[in-house]
Amino acid sequence: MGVFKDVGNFFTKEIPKFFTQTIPSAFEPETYAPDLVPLRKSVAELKVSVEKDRERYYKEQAALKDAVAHYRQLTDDFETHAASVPEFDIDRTDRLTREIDEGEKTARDIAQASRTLTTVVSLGLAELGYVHADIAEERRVLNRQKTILTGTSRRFKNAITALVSARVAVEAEITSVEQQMSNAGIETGPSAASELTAAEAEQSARRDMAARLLGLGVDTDTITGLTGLTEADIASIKAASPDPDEDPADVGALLTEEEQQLLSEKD
Amino acid sequence: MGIDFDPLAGLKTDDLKNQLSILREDLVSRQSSYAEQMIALDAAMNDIKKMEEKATFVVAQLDQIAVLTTPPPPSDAEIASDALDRYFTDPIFLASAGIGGIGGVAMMVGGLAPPVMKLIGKAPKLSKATKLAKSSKFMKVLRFGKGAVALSAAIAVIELVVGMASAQAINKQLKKDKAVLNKHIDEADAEIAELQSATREAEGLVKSLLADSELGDLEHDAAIAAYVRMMNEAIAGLSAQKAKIRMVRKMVLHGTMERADIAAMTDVEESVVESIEKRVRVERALVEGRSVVEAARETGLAAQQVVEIEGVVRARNEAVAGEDAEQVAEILNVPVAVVLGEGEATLPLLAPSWADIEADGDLDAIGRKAVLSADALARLRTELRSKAALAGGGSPDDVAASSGRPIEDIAEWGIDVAEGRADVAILRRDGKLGKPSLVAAQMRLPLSLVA
Repeated sequence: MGVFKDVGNFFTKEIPKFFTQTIPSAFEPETYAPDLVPLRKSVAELKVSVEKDRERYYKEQAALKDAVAHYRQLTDDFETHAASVPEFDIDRTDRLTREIDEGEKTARDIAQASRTLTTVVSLGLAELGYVHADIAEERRVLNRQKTILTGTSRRFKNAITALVSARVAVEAEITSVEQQMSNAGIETGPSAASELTAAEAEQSARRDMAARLLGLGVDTDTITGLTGLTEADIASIKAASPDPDEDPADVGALLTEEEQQLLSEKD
Repeated sequence: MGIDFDPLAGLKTDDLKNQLSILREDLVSRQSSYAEQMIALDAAMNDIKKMEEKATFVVAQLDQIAVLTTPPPPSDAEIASDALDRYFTDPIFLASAGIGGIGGVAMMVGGLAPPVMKLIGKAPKLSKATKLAKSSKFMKVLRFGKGAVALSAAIAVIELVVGMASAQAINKQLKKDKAVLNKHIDEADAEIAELQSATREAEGLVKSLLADSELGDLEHDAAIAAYVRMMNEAIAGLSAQKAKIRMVRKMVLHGTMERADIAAMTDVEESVVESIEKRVRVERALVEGRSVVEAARETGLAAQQVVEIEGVVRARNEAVAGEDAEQVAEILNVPVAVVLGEGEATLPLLAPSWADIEADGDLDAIGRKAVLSADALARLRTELRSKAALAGGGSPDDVAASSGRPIEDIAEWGIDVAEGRADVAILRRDGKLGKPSLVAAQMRLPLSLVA
């Protein structure tokens, strides 16, 4: 029992342990420089988070562009459609434009800066090769990287915040415009703005025509039948225009009684 | 292009790691430029899509106005096309939609502001642009995005090997990985190249379209905004013209007013009224069953003109009967905008007879007045009666059986009824509900749902 077993144990367990664990552990930072462990860890984590921020930054930049494009599609570059969408005010779109500009400007700045920063950081990778050679040197390199990475991370996060806040503002505006359009009975497809422009122009042409017919002394029923406008529309046109010439001779000149009867399309 | 790793083999560990770091930096900056190209292409695509939408809208309106007047005799087609610059140079377009008579062209040209006319002249270039945008080339590039993944993978490999202790270990790993690494890099490079060329092409297209519209000197965003403004002006101008000419047509259909009176009331030139009158005469002859040759002889028009009108008359009948606009357009070889526009313009004309159509009114008489076939009105009658039955709680199966229409149609009408009810309720709430018969006609609903 005893000796041979102990000796056997020494050869099979203790000697290999000396070579595989004891000697190497003298070269591990835990032994020679305990502060390097968390430093390395935090630099590694920062690197991962900066990479993530960089991806997120590009994603957000693209998302803002998408939202702005969608908004412009809806509103034709902030042209207003005052007639159909009264709450759509120019001040708000001005503020929104500034917000988007701000977001994009911050994004451009960071894009410039991040180029240089990633260069520095990735070059620093090589310096990580000096792992066991010089503790002081490694500490210096790691600290430098940490500073750069922390700064980069902050700048990315600021840029992302600016982009997100601009996007949220644009999306809120999209929701509000879509709501207004839907209240006004307009479908919000890709040609919503064109439809709106067309509908407004047609409506105003009808109103012009109605005003002209009123001026000629044509009666309301005939005008609603011809133009498709409602009686309320005609009333508002009457209210907005100076009193039409009441001379009955004008009516007779253009329309006979029978014609007026036929045009009025009474239900 | 892939990377030649062979020269790296002889380097000392530190030098090797430095070289690899430079390589990594290169890959990272490729990744950035990839992302930036993507954004640039996306932006250019948005410009193109917007320009396409505006151009399509303007062309659709031209189509809708063109079919309101008499098409020109074959000999006049050239003069008309000159008047509208290059818009009408496509012979297929001439044949399918027919173009407005000289009077109509003059009306369209005369009433619009110069920038609007200039833009209409650019329409063929715009349709070319829309075709290019749809050629799926750009979209395909935008879709795949594998390059970014490939670059990330390549960067990960480089980082892995850089972390290794010795040149020997690195070289051993690189030898194993270099084929995959180079495959990733090649893939990304190819995609970046494609992305770049697509971006260049898309941006070039936008630039040339802006230059065509004489907006090339403006800064990009301002030019796009100016373009949209001009197009909106065109849309507004054409819409106003369309509303006016449709009103003239309505007066002409009544058939009791003097040409001069109509012209005076609507502020439209007499020649335009005359052109519309002529067209209505042909349409009436066709609806009453006269052949193209007979109708041509009766009205003194060339057969080709009558053929063009006939296509639109048939499209209008199908639209009123409730057929799918796209299918009708395809079968009759008429622009889809014309089918939609004719339906939209004709249904309100039926308002005074709407109750009679649903009940037992004389469809021949109603058709004569609105220039529609009794058959189209009979199909509309079936739809209105079915919708009324559905609104009254009838089961879809029973309605299908009594109407003789497939159950799919009944299901669609059921949806129309539900949506129509909701829309009418909103209009009523807002006090915007017009004449019940007019609203019912515009929405293709039985009168009982609106009144």
